[in-house]
Amino acid sequence: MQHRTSWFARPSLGTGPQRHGQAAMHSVAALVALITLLVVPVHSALAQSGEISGTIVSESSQRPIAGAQVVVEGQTGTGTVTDASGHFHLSGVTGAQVTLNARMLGFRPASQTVRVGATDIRFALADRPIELNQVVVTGTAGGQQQRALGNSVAKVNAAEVVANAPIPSVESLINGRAPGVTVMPGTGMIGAGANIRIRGVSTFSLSGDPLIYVDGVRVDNQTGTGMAVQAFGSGVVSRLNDFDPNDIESIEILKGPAAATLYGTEAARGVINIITKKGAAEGTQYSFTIRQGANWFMNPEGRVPTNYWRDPSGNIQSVNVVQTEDARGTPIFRTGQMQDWAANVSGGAGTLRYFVSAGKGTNDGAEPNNGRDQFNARTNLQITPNEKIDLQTSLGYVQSHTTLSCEGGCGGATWGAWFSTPANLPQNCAPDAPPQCSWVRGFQSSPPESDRAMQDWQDINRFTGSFTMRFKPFKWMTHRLSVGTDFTQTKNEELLPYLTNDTLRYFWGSYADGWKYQDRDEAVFNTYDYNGTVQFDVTPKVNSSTSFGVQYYTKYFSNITGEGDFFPAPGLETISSAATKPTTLDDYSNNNTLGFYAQEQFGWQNRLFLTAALRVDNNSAFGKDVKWVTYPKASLSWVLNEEPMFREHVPAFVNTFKLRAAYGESGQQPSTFTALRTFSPVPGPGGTPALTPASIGNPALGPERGKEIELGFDAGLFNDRAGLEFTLYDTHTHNAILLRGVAPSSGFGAQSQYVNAGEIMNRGIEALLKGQIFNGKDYGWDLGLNFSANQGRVIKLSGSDTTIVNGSIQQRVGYAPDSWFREKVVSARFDPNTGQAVDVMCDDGNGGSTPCYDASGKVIAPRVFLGRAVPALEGSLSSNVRFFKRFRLTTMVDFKAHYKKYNNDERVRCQVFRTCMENMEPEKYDPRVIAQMQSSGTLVDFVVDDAKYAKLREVTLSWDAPSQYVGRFGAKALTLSLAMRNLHTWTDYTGPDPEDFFVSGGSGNGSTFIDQSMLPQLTSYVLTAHLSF
Amino acid sequence: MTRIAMRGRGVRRARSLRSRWFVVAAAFAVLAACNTDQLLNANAPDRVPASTIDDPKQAALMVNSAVGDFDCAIGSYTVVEAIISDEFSDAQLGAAGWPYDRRDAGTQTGGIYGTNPCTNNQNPGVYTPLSTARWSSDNALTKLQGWTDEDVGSSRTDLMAQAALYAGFSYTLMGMSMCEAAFDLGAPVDQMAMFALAEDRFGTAIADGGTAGDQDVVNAAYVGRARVRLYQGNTQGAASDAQLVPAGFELDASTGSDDNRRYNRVYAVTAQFGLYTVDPQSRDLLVGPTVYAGGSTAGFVSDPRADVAQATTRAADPTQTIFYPTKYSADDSPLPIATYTEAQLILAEATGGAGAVTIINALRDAAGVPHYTGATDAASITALVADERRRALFAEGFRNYDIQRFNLPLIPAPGTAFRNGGFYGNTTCLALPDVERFNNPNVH
Repeated sequence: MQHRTSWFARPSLGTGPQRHGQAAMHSVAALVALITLLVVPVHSALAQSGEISGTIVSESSQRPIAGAQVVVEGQTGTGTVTDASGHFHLSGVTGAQVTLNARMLGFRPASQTVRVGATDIRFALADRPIELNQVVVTGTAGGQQQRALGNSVAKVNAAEVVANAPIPSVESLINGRAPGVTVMPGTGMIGAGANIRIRGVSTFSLSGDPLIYVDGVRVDNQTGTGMAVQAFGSGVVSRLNDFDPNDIESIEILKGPAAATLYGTEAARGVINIITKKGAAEGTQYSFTIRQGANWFMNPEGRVPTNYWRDPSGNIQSVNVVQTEDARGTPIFRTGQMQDWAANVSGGAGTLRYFVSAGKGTNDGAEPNNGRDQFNARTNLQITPNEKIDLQTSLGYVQSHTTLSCEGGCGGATWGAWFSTPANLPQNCAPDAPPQCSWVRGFQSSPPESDRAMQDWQDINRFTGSFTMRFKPFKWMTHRLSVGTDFTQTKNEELLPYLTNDTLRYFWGSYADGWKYQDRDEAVFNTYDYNGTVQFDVTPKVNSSTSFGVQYYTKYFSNITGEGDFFPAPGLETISSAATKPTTLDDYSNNNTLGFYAQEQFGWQNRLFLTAALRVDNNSAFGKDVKWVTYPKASLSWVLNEEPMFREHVPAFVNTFKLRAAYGESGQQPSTFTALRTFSPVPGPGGTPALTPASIGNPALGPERGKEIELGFDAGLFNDRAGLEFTLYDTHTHNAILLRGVAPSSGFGAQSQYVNAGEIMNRGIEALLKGQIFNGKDYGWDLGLNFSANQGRVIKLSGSDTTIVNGSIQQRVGYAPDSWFREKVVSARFDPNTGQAVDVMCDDGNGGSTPCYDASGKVIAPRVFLGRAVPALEGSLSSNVRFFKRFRLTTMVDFKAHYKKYNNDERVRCQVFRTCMENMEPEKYDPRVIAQMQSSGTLVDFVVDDAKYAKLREVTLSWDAPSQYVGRFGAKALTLSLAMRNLHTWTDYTGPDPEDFFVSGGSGNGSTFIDQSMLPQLTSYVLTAHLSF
Repeated sequence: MTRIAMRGRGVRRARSLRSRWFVVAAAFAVLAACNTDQLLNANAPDRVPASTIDDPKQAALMVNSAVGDFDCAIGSYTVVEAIISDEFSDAQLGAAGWPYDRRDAGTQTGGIYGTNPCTNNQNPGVYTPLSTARWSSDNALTKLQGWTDEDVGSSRTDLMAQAALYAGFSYTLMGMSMCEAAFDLGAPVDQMAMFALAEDRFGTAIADGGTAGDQDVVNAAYVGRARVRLYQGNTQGAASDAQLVPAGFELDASTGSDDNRRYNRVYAVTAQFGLYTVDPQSRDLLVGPTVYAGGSTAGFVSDPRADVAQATTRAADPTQTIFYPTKYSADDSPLPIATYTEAQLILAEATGGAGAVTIINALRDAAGVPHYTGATDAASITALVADERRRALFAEGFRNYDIQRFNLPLIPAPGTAFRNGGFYGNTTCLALPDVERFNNPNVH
């Protein structure tokens, strides 16, 4: 069958670029004539033998669908499945005209009446919003059908998304496409990753990162690994983004304890399962993708603040360093170029299925010392020697080089620009001013070229591999054994070369001779996972499925760090060549988890499912008093539309309806040894060995335990043209762990202490609505809306505490975890004689007011609730319009609301450097704000800003070339697209971008609070050519 | 279907069920039989459990560690006290450290002075480093007192003397910098109570040091006890201790360039990192026949004991220039803990009158600067002693407490606008920080 297809497509038309060049010279008429000449005889031949051929593609992305079934209605035994290119070929069809039915899991079935002998049949299958027979990954041997699941699983059809729009990273795949999953990018630096939180803040201080699995193997899920600049709030490099979106088939997200119970301890924050592409069917498909694009900081002159200064003559001067640097011919920001290519071959032959890919890309940021180069390769093989055994390997490799600029607290061009001042402009220098006065050109502290002399980068080599064997010795028994490893070797470097430029040397002072810092890390995650499932019919109507398994996970981290300061001469750039070497460190740590589970599921008539499970875990971090921890689970799923009574009570437009309910528990343990009281080795007097108190420990420390109830339904509407998933959840984290300060008088004040501090509740709703507004042959319009709302609350705190303070963030009973509490100025009066705001009164917390300060100047007003620090509402609206048959326009707008951010840019400008217009003419502004700006940093409620926003995140226009054109050079499909990202933001936030955050400003759970001189999300365009053979 | 056939099918199903459940149970039995402890073992190669050090065989390590904690703490203490006083001023652009220089740190109890470690160059801490040092030495002393010579060896008494000495200085510095402090999660105590605790530890050090024949410990303890006795108003006791200190005696904190923890913190934050600079008020201290009060400089010379130099280091704040005390010219410059000079100044202050002048002029001779020839009434001598201490003990951690106890004027005056926003306050000692107030059950 495959040979015939090739013969039909290729021989007469030629291949290669020379042919492509000639194509432009031909007239359409000549082309049509040629094709007619070629095709008609073939048609005749096919008709004579009762053959039909064609292609099946996805309606939304025009991506070929491999493995789809095609049958001839009324002709039993006449059917086939599509090959890797989505192509099918039927033979032995009788009659002159027949009806073909095409179906594929996840798509709505379609029918066409066709002529026997036709060779250009094209089915465009529309997505089926609700697919109850689809199998999702749940931790058991064979996964589970959606119909049996009592909990929701967010599924991102990555292959479809990537086919529609070039997606730069895995987090971009998830952002806005999974209700309840919050992606917080923080910075626009290329290569920097996002924090991901699922269903709100469920811990005080432990990591909020969900677990990540790739093809069944637990992988490194850290963010912010290694690079020195990250210590100061610069963007984090997320290990999640090491994986190439082009290689991913789908992403399934288990959002909380109810769904993730079988993943046990560490799974309380949810689980992200990444399933990479596999060879799906017979035949071979070759795909090539080439991208070219650019990234830039949109409207920098309008978003980098204009700052003011009153000169000695009393005149107010202003500076916008973006404009002054542009005028000078030395723009601060550039347009970074991006280009990449990716290629893959997938398909199958006999018992073998394969997917092999490689990709390489370069992506430059808006700052000259920011960018990322990456190379990916993947080989996925599947061998099915017989119906009892199935062997799969998944092997992925990535090599990347990421450079990050300083930002946030690290300084850099953003810091110097955000906090610029006219006082530092050359024309304002006094005649006897030191040289730096004219060199800084209005920037704060130093000009950009000074900061950019320093380089920070990370090189990684990462291998993620797994081997999975499925063995089905009997019809009623399935075994699955997965063994895998995720090995990441990271090299983080910071280098300031020996500077020869006198101006730069001045700004670096004693560091001008340079330094080098290097940190080499290894992270090894190993997975050993056995699962078994036994299925049998208890009665003709009742089916039993018993699953059991054992998992053993190991994590190992090691690092070696060295530093060398002061190179004797230019050109030296190694630690060995430095004059002093103050730091050499090495360390390692490990953590292992062993767990078992058993699950029993009873199904009644394949439409009512009851599931109960118990997981038992132990972990290296558990104290001696905490041995095995158990996590129970129970769920109910009821496919109501298959009940006979359903049609009697429910309107006909509801064609699928599943009710689900689930209860489950899972955990999150603290780091290894946090329970122990420990000392750290330090150099003592004369450099002798010594110890110093480190962690006070907490022998009573136990793991957090998440308990969750989830209720919801999945509904297919209007004959599956629309689908609605609705979920209500209520999650309680018991023994929530807080990293709280230790009274220094104990001797162990240098490190905070992990304590089980209380209980956190997260309650919310998630809704996903997908629908096909219109679907015609040449036109179509799909809409999608996802929405989630979260109400978090601290339910109780241990002991007599009702409040735990962490700067401006407090954990207070009755309020959302991580809420803003500060003194709130409610009134003040401006005294024109002194130029000061006086009679400053604050909210007393009881609806009245009270003086903010006592006579000594100490703030005495209470801190009152100002708002949440993490969004309570979020979601996205996506649209896919198909028009003129071959064009598609996809757009996505995402939004976050009901939260506030600490705009430290404004505080530093107005309260510290006093370069706001309010500082120049305080009499013209609100005295309440002036009172704060004139305080010594003690009153700051004016910078706790509403950060809600909506962002036009993605717009992509695609064109699918007609097959007769691409066929002329031997290809099967060609898609050209122009995509743009981050085009517009609607927000009242006063900072440059409401998505910015100062990474170090969050508490231990990675919630993100403070914005200070961070680069906004970059706008980008990408031109893509995708060609398949 | 007959009943027998149905029964037969039921029996087979029951057997089938049993056999399948047996498979599951057997699998779990095998797994349960495994020894899982080995699978869960984890190492902590960079930390030492408390149980390891709580051992008489580790007594010397315990005391050495306490000394190390103190050596680090005194560095950051000295820097902070210099910034709050008129010795140093801020030269950076990080606002967190400004409350020191603005002298309003005392009103910002959640600030860095309570939480930051001794290794933070940008924003050195006070309360936590001194608390750690105090606990380490007191803990060592308590442990050693509970052990026997048989447990520890013949060095036990000397180790006790050392531990007591450093505990004494920890209490002393805590009292000089903090208005209130708590110890071992107890209720807060005031400065005088801290000096009393220090005096007790110095007494132990003198006794044990004497028994062990460790004259350096004894001499340092004399200096320390003289200091806290003076601060408590026991001038006679102070004088009697101070005069026992031999000429030239000096106990220094160990410093080194091998690790940030061992840096001479004063040098590190000034000449090395450009974060703080010698305040313009202290850049050219003059010494002469009277206490210099401005005006003519005839008869006055620049005091070499308070010599400063301009560093090549660029200040983080481009409007500032870095000056540093030349006595600290490298990361390994020693940082004094107790000196003969201080003992003599204590003796002068306790003696008063012409006797004080004699003592001070002897110190001036050693420094090669002109004698004092001014008035010897009580007020003049007090002014002389305060001024002499400012020079002779420059950047050694005394000035701020001297401003407090001599009630010297705060310059710039409270209420004056601070150059980076806000106004100068009147902090001389630091209030009990939030980190102690919120986490110590005995603080209300």
